[in-house]
Order: sequence, then structure tokens, then C-alpha cells
Amino acid sequence: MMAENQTQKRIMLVDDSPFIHKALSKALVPAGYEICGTFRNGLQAVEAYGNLLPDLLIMDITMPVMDGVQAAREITARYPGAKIAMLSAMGDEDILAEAKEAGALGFMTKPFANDELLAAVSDYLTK
Amino acid sequence: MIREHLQVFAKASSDVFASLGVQAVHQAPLAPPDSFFSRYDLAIIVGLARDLRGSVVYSMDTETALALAGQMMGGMSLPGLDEMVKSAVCELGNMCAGSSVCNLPGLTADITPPTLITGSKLAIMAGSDNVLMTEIATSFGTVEVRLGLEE
Amino acid sequence: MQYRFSADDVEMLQAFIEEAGEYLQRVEEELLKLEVSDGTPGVLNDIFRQIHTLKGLASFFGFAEITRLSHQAEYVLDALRSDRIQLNSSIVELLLNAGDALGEMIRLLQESCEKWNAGTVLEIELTCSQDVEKLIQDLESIIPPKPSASGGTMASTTVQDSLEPVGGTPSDCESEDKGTETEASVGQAFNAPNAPNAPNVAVVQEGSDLPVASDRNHVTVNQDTHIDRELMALVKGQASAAAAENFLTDADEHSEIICGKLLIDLDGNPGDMAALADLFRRVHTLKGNLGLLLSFQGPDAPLRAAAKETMEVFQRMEELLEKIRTLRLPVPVWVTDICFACMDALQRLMTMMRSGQMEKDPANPPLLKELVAARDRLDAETSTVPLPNSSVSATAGEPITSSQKGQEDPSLARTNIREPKKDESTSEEASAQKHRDKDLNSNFGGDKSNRAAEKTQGDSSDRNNAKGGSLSCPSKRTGSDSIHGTTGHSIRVSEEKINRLMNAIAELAVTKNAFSQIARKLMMEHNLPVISREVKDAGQWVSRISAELEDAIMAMRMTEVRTVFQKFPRVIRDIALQTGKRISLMMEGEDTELDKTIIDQIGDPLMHLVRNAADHGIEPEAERIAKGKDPQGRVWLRAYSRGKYVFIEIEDDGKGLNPQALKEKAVEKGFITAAQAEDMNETQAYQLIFLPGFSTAKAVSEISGRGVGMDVVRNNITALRGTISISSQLGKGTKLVMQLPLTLVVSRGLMVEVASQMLILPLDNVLETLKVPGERLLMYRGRKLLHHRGEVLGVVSLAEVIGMGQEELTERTPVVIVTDGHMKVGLIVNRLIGEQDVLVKPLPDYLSSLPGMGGGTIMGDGRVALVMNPIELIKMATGTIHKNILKGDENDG
Repeated sequence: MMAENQTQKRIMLVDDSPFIHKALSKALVPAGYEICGTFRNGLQAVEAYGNLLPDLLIMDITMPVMDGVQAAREITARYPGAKIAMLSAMGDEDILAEAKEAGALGFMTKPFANDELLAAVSDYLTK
Repeated sequence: MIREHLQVFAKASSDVFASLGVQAVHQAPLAPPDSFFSRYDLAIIVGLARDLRGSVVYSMDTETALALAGQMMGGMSLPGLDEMVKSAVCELGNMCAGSSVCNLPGLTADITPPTLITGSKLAIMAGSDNVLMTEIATSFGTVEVRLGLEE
Repeated sequence: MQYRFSADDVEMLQAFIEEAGEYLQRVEEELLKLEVSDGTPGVLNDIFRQIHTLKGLASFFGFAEITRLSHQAEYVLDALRSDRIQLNSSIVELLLNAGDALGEMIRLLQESCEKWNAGTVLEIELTCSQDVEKLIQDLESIIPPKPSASGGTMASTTVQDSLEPVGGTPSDCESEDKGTETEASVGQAFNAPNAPNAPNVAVVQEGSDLPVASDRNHVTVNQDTHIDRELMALVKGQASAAAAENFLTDADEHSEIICGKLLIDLDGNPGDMAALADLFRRVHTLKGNLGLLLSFQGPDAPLRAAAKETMEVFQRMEELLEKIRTLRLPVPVWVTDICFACMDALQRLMTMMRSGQMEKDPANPPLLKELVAARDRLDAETSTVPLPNSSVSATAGEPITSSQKGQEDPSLARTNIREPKKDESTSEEASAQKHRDKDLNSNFGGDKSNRAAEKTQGDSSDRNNAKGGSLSCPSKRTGSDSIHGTTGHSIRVSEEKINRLMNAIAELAVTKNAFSQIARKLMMEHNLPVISREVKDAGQWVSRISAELEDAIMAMRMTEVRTVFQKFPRVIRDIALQTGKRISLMMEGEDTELDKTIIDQIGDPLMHLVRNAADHGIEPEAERIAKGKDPQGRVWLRAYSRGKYVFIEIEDDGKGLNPQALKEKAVEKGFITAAQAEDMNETQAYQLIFLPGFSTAKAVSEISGRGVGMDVVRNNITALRGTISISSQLGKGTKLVMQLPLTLVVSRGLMVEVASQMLILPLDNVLETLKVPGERLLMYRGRKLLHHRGEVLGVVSLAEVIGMGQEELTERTPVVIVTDGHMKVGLIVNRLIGEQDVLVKPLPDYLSSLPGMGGGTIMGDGRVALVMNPIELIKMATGTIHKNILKGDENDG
């Protein structure tokens, strides 16, 4: 019944766990966001970013092939305005510092609850 | 040293269970494993790198894993281990290990993506000397935590 | 008559009003039962007691009219229950009228209280549309003149053995005024209800009608005198005297049972826990009554000293019994003896009160000493007895904490909190279901709502321990032998308190989001991930609790339909009488529950439908007989729940709807053409009655009235997100089925952006959404039209409707087609955002008068979005459309 929307925000998801993809989609889609792509490692994310140019990238840290911090570094190098929010099971000062240094504008820890996620996403998108 | 680390792992993992709404208590003693065969048929292996090198393995019954995954999916009752459920179980290991390494005082450790194995006679850390294990009692069953570190 | 109350008293007054309302409601119900079942003594007794209690309460406040009227009604009821007069329908009628008058006055009091400014003096002018004096006279005239009291006419229904003679007789009474006051002078005496204080006991003897009574039953043996005496006391307008009378009546009743039954039982069977429990309760009540009595006595009142001692006696007796009860000991003989002694002390006090000779009872001090000694003895004897596990435990005879399904007392303007049932009730199921549905969206956040679901379903045993009132006195809650006969495990809570709670919970729902915000700040701006996580976890806990609170309050708002249904038997009865028909009303499923808001609003539509059924549906007796039907018409009112909906059915076995007649009428009124009428089938024909202004009643009867058409009924129901359907069979009857959502609270909404504002439209009213190219919108006489799916729709800018400017038309203008059940309008918005679950909260007062607003909701990020009311919107939109037409006309010149 819903016709397509003109100005929905587009979000790209990167995590090696399909479960996380699903959980994130379930939270974001009903809130009106569009998931424009899902990927399972940092390398795929870097390669796809240019084509998709999402409004926000939500990325895990611990991934095979290329981890999230590295991917964030590469993406922000090429696309300085990229909005990247890390989502990770880890969260200590060092990792946090690394992520920020790599250009992440947000950092969320797992597990997360829906309203928390939505509040954070809304926050990042309006920065 | 490994004693203190395992203590941290057990506590942090219990906290993660709690934040998923699962009651978890760590009361069991920390001791070297009595056998390298696990008494459970499912295990999640997460590697450790940087300041702490080795791996942590969470083992449990498949039923326990299904129940925990079900809880993560919002209270569902899951019939079996399909791809999505396996992913959820892995994620559980990821969260527990990830949270644990953050709480290691003075150390910065990384974790690797988790691996899930199932089987009736799982041999865990058979080749290592420096292994310590303990158990976390949860409302869905026992979760065994083994920490194996390189010298 | 004018009354004044100080600010302190108003609270008491409010409590009185609440209670009085309940009593009157029950009285009405039971009076109706009487007509049908022909005066079973139990029912009469019940009614008598309610009225008696009401009278007593009213007299505390000096409400003369209420007191006198109740008194007279009580008098009649007493005569009925002791078979001095026979029940007939005119007496029932009169009693019902009296009930109405009382109800009216109580409501007047309630309104006055509601308008009262706290802290000021409350002044009330108590009037009644009925002629109260006439009612009183009519009631009086029912009673044959009093028999002369010879041979001790037993007018009481309770017979008991007299155990000990009572010292003193009524003939020793002191009269305050010289001579006797007859009832004729009562009226005049009432002109001065606030007469200055006279000596406390104003028990006046009425002429020579008093028998000399030598047993303690003198009060009940001669009811007439007793009642007259009470009346005299009231004439003086002295609350304390009235209090004394009430105390005496109640004390008699309790004494009878204690001495005549309970203590005897315990004598023979010391282990009888039920008797012990009952005894304890009554002793506790008597102690309380003594306290109340005391509170009315001035510091120098002669009664005071004596009553105080007696009260202390009872206090100690109560403690003694409490200990025995707690320890579950069999009652020793010496305790039973002491109890008898205490009851004797009470009797002596009562006698003194009746005789007017107030002195301290010399027997009390030694009795008190005995009681202390008894307690010591008990302590000594039981120090070796181990305490049972739960100290105040529920014994077999005390179902205080049981998980019975409590029966609700119908309440006028209150929500009852009830114990959650152990088996899953629909409301719990529905809320658990809602959470399960939501949970597929929330990932690991499934924890919080899952826990809520667990708790509501399983863990009701904890909540069963929430008691109303003190544990040690569960008297008024159980058993039919408690004075007021209330049953059920519920607590009375005023609506205002519930609303306060709801507001607080709503605020919590928003504030809890602060945790994740702070956690984010700590993480990103302050580099403190570990603490950030802790804050986040704490926030999670708070969220979980917040969700549970929301569930709980939603459950509290669920009220039984009974509260709406209960007025209908009377309505049917009245219509039956007015129209001379015989109609019986059958109600089913009164304990089905609905959200309070819905309950509040279906009253009117239901009333209209029930009246229709009785007035227009059911045929007169003769007609029915001619048709071979049962001469008595039947109307069914049924409520039941299925899944997420509640269904209310109104069915009658009357004449049914005539599709042909409906069609003709519609054509005649110009709603449809003859051709359309041809094409219609029966079901479609029935729908015609929902057309505004449609009525097939030849004479618009006074009962069903005019102007409240079926269209309004349907609109009301649609506004509640419900539907109504009709089925009928000509000659056999008609059935209307209302389908209502279980709660108004959770719904699906479509979020749109209008003039940079987020608004939500309830999805139930949204038919479709489109993106329309600008050129497809036709302009006609200043108004935008859209040709869509073979229909022409009016289209307006939602921004314009709510007064926020105009949306620009673009190449692909989003349009939302909404309906209110029969009209459709297209609303232009700026942007379509998406569908979502919406937890609608009522708007605060200062916002609720905004046109078009239905409520507010809190978005996931904590922002508030306004929820529109589509019915209003459509009205406003069509207004706008008309305005545009006018403008268009002007422009056309």
C-alpha cells in the first residue's frame, strides 16, 4: 500500500553476522529507514561504499578479511563526509580512540535495544 | 594471571547474559579441565589477539544455545539451528568475549570473529597446557567457559 | 436546604458520596429483582441494610432530606421483611422512585464537590426534582398504623436466646423535650438542623407504646419504637446522637452473633478457626465503632469516659484473640469466659446509653486487669510454641489472599484495581501478544518486553498478596455475614489517582531515553566507554521496568462492561411500562473487559440501540400474540471477547427490519434513486438506517428521541475504532453487532510530515496512499478533486486543514486517502514517512482542545508526535472544501 518515498534515509550495514543484519533491519525499517546494502566484511564495505553513498554506515569492528576500523579509515579517506557509526561487542578506551581516529562519528556497544539504536541513528543523521 | 583473566571473562559474560534478560550466576570454581572432551555438544570459539593471545571457548547444550538465541530474538522459541540461529549464537560468543576483553585491566586485547562447532564428542583445547575453565549457571542451562592462553 | 462544610470535612463528604452511590446502585438492582422473584427475605434484608447504612451515613452530615427519605424507605422495607405488609409493584415503584430521588441528591452533592475550590468552605444547596415530602408521605401511607405493643409483637427476623437480662429498661429514658414529639411535628423540627448541642443521649420515649422489655432483644422486638427513637434523635440534628443510635444497632447485631453463636461454637469446639476468625473480625469492628462513637463525644461528655474504658477492653480482647489466631491455637476456656465478660461490659455500656445515665462502669477496671493477666498467661503458655511459617497466614476460613476471581463491585466513577487472575485473562494475553509482536523488531532488546510478558502471565502470586486494608481486619471483604456484604478482592482508587499514575508513567517513558543519550555522550565526547556501557545497562533496566508499568496501567484501565450494562434493566423496565409492552432483558458477559475510555464512550450509543430495540423493535403484546410469538419480548445484551476485539451484541426478537420500507423511505428522502433501490439487496438496505437524518419511526417517540440517529451511533463507534453491523429478519428480530478493539491504546499509524511537523494518522482510517502528479488534480470551483478508481474525491492540503499553511503541489504529491466510515477525503501531505506501532496517549488538557488532534505518542527517539483524529479531520476538511468552494465562487465572480 505504501508508495515509495522520496526522501527516506538510506543506511548501509556491515557485520559478519547475518543475525545482526536482521536485528538491525527489524529496528530500522519500521522506523522509516531504507537499508540500501548489507555486507559481511570491511573489504566489501569499502568496495561498495562509492556506489551506494549511504546517508549512514553502521559497521561492526570484528570482521574477517578487513576489520571495521580499517574499513572506516579507508572510507573516510576517500569520502571525507562519510557518516560512520561503529557497532561492536568490544568497547574499551583504546578501541574507541582508534575508531574515532579512523573517522567514526558514533560508537555503539552490543547488545543494544531498539529505541536506543533508533535514538542514536537519528542523532547521527542530524549531525 | 590466567585465573584473574578467567574471572573477568566469567563475570563479563554473566553480565552480558543479564543484559539480554537471562539470569546468570557465576559461582563455580575455576579449575583446570578434567578432560579435553566437552560434556556439551555445542561450542563457540573466539580467538584472542594483541596483549592476550589464545582463545576463549563457550560450550553448552544445543538446547541452551537455542534458548539463548531465542531470547536474543525477542522471546521466540526456536526449533533448531538454522543459519540465522547459528549467527545469533555466534553473536552471543562475540558479545561475551568482546565485553570481557574490555574489562581486562591494563590490557588491550582484540577478538576474532567467532566460530561455531557442534558435535557429540568435542575436544576443546586439546593441545594446550595453560587452560582454565569454569561454569556459568543460567536459567536456560549451564555455559562452560574455557580460557586457553599461549605462554 | 443549605449545607456548609469546612475544607476538612469535604474529604469525608466525598467518601460518603462514593459509598452512597454504590449502595443506591445495589438497591436499585435488588428492587428490580424483587419484582420478578417476589420478595425473597434475603433480598429484602439486603435492601433494608443498604438503606439503613445509607441513612446512618447521611445523618452524620446532617442531610435531613436524604436521612428522612431513607428512614421512611427503611421503615417500609422493614415492614415488608417482617411480613406486616405484602409486596406489590406499586410499592416497588415507589421504592424505585425514592431510590431515584436519593440518587439525584447524591449526584448533586457530587457535582458540588467537583466544583469545589479546595481550601474554601463548601456550600451546597440540596434540592430534588421529585417532591421528596410527597414521597415520604406516600411511603408512610403504605404502612398500616402501628399496633399497640402488647404481647411483644416480634417484628424482628433474628431470634436469639437471651443470655442475660439487661439492666435498665427504656422506660427510664430521659426525654429532652417535655412530653413526646409525634411524627407530625417532625417536619417543623427539621427547620433547625444545626441546633445547638444538647446532652448527648437524646433518646426520647414515644408515648406509652413502649413495652417493658426484660431481655436484651428489646430493640429488635419492638422495631417501631426503635425506629421512632432514632428519628427523634435525628430531629435534634445531632450527629452524635445519630452516631449513638447507629452504634447501638450495629453493636446489637454483632453481640447477637458473638454471644449467641461464635462464643458458643468455640466453647464446644475450641479449634474452630473460622469461628475464631469471625469473632476476631467482629471484635475489631466493635472496637472501631467504639472509637467512632468516642470521636463524636465532646471532652466533657459523660459518655466519653465510659466508652473509652469499654474501648480499651475491646482493644485488649482483640489483641488477645489476635495472638491466639496467629498462633493457630485452640481457644482455651478461660479466654472464652473473658470474651463473654467483655461482651457483658459492652451490653452495660449500651444500656447506659439507652437509659441516659452515663457513669463509669465499676466493673471495667477489674475487667481490664483480668485482660492483662490473660495476656500474660497466654504469653507464658505459648513461649514454647514455635511460630508457624507465615505469621499472619490465610487459614481455611479466611480467603484473604486467595486467588479467587474477585467479583467487582460496580462503581460509579471509579476504576477498580483487581487481583490479576491466575489463568491468562484476555487483557494480559493481549498485552503479552503485543509485546511478542513488537519483539520481532527488538533484537536483544527482547529481554525487556519478554520479561514483562513473563511477569504478567506467570507471577501473579506476588500481587495476590497486595491487600486492601489491613491484614488483621479482612472483615468487610469476605463472607456474606459481614455488615456491608461486599465481596471481591479489589481496591477502590479514584480516577484522578489513576490518571496521575498514567501521566507519571508516560513521563518516565520519555525520560528513560536520557540514559542512552548520556551513554552516547560519555562514549563519544568523553572517551569513557566502560562507564558508558554501565549507564546504558542501567538504562536498559529502567526501560524494562517502564514497560512493565505501562502494561500494568493498561491492565488497570480495563473495566468490565458491567458498569455500562447495569443501567439497562431499569431502562427496559421503564420502556416496558411506558409502552405497555412486556419485555425482558437478558444480559451476558458483563465481566468482559474493555479499556476505560471505550467504556465511557459506548454508553450513549448502546443506550440508543437498546432503546431502539425495546421501543421500535419489540411489538406490543397483542401484536405478538397475533403473530404467534411469545407475548413477552426479549432483548439480549451480550458481550464477549475474541482475540484482540470485544464484541457487544444487541439482539431482539421483535419485528425486524423491513428492507422494502427502508428503501422506500430512502428514496422518499432523496438519499438514493429508485433505480439504486432496485439494485440493493437486503444487507445493503439495512445499511440505509445509518444515513444521517434517517428514521422510519412514524412518530418520533419520546423514548428514542430525535437527533440521535444511527449515523451518530456509528460515528461514535468508528471514533473508537470499532465497527457495527446489522442483520435482521422481517418478523423475527434484529441483531446489531459492535466490534471494538480491546484497547484504544496500541494501534498502527501512518507517519507523515506536514509543514515540517510529524503527524500520525491512524492506519485504520487510511484507505490508501498515492503519489499524484500535479496535473491529475483537477480544480473545480476552487476545490481540488481527484479522479481515482472510478470515484471523485475531494482533496485538501492537510496543512491547510489544521491551519498550518499550504503544501506546494509538486510533480509527485503525496496524498493520503482517509475515511471516517462513509466519507472519503484525500489529504495532501509533504512527505510519507512510514507505518509504525503507536502507543496513543491522551493529550494534556491544554492541548486537547486543538481541533483534529486525537492524542500524542512518543517516538522511538523520545520525540512527541501528534496523532490525528480522522473523524474530526474529515469534518474540518469538508469545511475547508466548502470554504474553498466559496472562495472559488467569489473568484469566478
